[in-house]
Amino acid sequence: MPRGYMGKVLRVDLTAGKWKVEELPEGLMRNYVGGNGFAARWLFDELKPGIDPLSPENPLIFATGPLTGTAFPSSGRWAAYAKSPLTTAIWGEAHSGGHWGPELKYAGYDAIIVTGRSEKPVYIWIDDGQVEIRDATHLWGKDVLDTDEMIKQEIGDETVKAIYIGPAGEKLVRLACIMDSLYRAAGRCGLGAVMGSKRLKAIVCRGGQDIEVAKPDEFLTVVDELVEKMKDNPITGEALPMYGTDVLTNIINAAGGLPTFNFQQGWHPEAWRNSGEHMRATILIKNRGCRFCWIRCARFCAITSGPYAGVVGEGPEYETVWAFGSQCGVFRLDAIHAANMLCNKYGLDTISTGNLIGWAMELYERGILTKEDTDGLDLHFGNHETMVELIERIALRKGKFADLLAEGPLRAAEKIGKGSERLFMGVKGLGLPAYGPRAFWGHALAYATSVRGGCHLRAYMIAPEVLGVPKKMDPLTTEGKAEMCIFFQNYFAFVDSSLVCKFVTFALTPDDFARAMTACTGWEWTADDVLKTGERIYNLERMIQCREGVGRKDDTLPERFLKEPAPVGPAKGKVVPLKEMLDEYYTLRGWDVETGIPTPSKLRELGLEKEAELAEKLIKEAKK
Amino acid sequence: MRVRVRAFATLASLLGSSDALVELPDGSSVGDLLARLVELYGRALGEALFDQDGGLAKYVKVMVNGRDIDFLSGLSTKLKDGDEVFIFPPVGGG
Repeated sequence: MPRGYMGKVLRVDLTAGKWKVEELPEGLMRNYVGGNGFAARWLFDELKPGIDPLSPENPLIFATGPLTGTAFPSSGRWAAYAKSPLTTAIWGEAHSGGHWGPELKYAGYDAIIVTGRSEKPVYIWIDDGQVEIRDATHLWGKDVLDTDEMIKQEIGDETVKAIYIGPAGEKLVRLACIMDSLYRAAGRCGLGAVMGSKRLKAIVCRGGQDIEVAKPDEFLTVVDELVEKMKDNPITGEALPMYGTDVLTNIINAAGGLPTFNFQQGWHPEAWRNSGEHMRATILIKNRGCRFCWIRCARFCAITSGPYAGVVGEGPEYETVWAFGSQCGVFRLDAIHAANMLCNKYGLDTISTGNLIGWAMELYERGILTKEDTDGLDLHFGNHETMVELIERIALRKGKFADLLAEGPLRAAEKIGKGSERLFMGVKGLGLPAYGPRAFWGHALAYATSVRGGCHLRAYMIAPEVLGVPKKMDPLTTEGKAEMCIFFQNYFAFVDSSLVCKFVTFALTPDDFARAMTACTGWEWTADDVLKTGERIYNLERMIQCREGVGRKDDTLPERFLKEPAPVGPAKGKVVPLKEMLDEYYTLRGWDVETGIPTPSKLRELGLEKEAELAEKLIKEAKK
Repeated sequence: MRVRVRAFATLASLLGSSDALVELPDGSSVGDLLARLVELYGRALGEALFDQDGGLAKYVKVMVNGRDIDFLSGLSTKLKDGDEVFIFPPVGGG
């Protein structure tokens, strides 16, 4: 048996109100590692194609990895997976920091698979291996802050670690996230709504079990070395601790890629007001960190004057700052922090929500929406009062307009019509995050090809294109971008399976992971194994979406980035030359260039035999 | 000619401000500008900007009108009146 794992997965059927424990098969651990790999294997095997994501049949998976909760740096992570109710990508995935991931392992489980739908609201209480499905009727309708307090009181222990949905998840708002205690979120793909559809309010853990590693002395030696490497690295050792993720606002703005007014432009003279530097000088109280992380990139901020006086809490992160900042034409941190805190309280993804409100604002300014459509709200860019008001309305589905937006951009656009869908800035239905594609072409390719849709975290091409990691690449060329994008996708698929924070990759290489994994699991790992395993996992995720018809036709960007030249900044006059990068991407991936489906030979090379048979069939059908 | 220098994060405190206008002889390069800044603002800034061999320190980024000088002509990149030069210490995240 490998070490690093608890060796168990908990299966909960909420329709029957029953649970059982299964041993993790060794082959699963060796070939799929944990996290994303486990979820890909389980979803491929158990997700029935064509089901409604909000039906009881959708399996909702919570997973950790072998490095989670160990001494490995920044290992306080977990992730959730299911078919997404928000996007057309099928593959739904969201990661979170915070405190819960390690505790799940200490309580005895590497992962949980929840199926079915409870008749009454419930929560799952896992106390050192013992599992109880408890009534949550009294918690239904409560916001995240109240839920946290009530559950801890009920259990009589302030130190339990828990994940929750807020009212947004309960009301099946398709932008709903899953919160880790009060401030960290598994934000994207609407998985909070999946949890709500199962009437599952929370999962609470407490545990005292040890995670055994295979070679403890060697593991600690490797970890010490990796921590030193991270301390010496200017990004993990200096920039993130000092200014947090919002250190990016100024440089991304300078490079012409700060999405402004729903991505119409990538630069704004007032952007500095939302910057990490300005945050530090004005509203920052202290730095915060997730469990087992010394980077401590999280912020804790308080607003002490003005209309938002009294707003206090963790954040806002760069992604939140952008989404409720330049995206909505808002250049004041107090309103952004207020928006952030409301999203945390009600359980909404800040990226998707800000992206969506910015979209609605553009529709309003273009006259596609009028006050009659918006329940009287004035949605001009920069109207921060409306922005903040709309968040609460969406979370609670208050009024006809917010109820429509709560269905997510694709469904809302269908109702609104008038070309509104073309102005939604997303890929496969997932709203784009904080980097304008016209200024960063490799990152644009990452958006188009990311398996969960418009996402920056499957291949963070900003690292080479702006920060110079692992090497500097010109953001306005296509050369070498497909290859680098594939490297990141494979590497990150592994990191998301070993399950630690991606920020360590600014300093650590696949070889570093291989050494840590060898000492942790007791199996030999090389850098090649890390990348090959990541490739296997990525291809398997891709097959889950190809099986339901996703392919090259969906691997694209909003027309704005392909046809409208950037109006200002260093990318002025540029559009994204996507097609040539995509052709190269599929070729290098060993995927069918015409359909974007992995070729049977590639899948066989990765040991994915039954997937290869499926691919053969899918490619044939697609070319008919 | 006159160029506008904007320094960010830790470099702003070394400059004493996030924003400065600097007079330079016509035909000056980015290298000339940085040398002038060190003259004006002191050795601490020089230590932050350059490595021991006099090259730009690793991870320090200089942009002229938003373009990284690595993709222009490096420290020899010529400046013109009204250019905006951004200087970033290591930043990252996401």
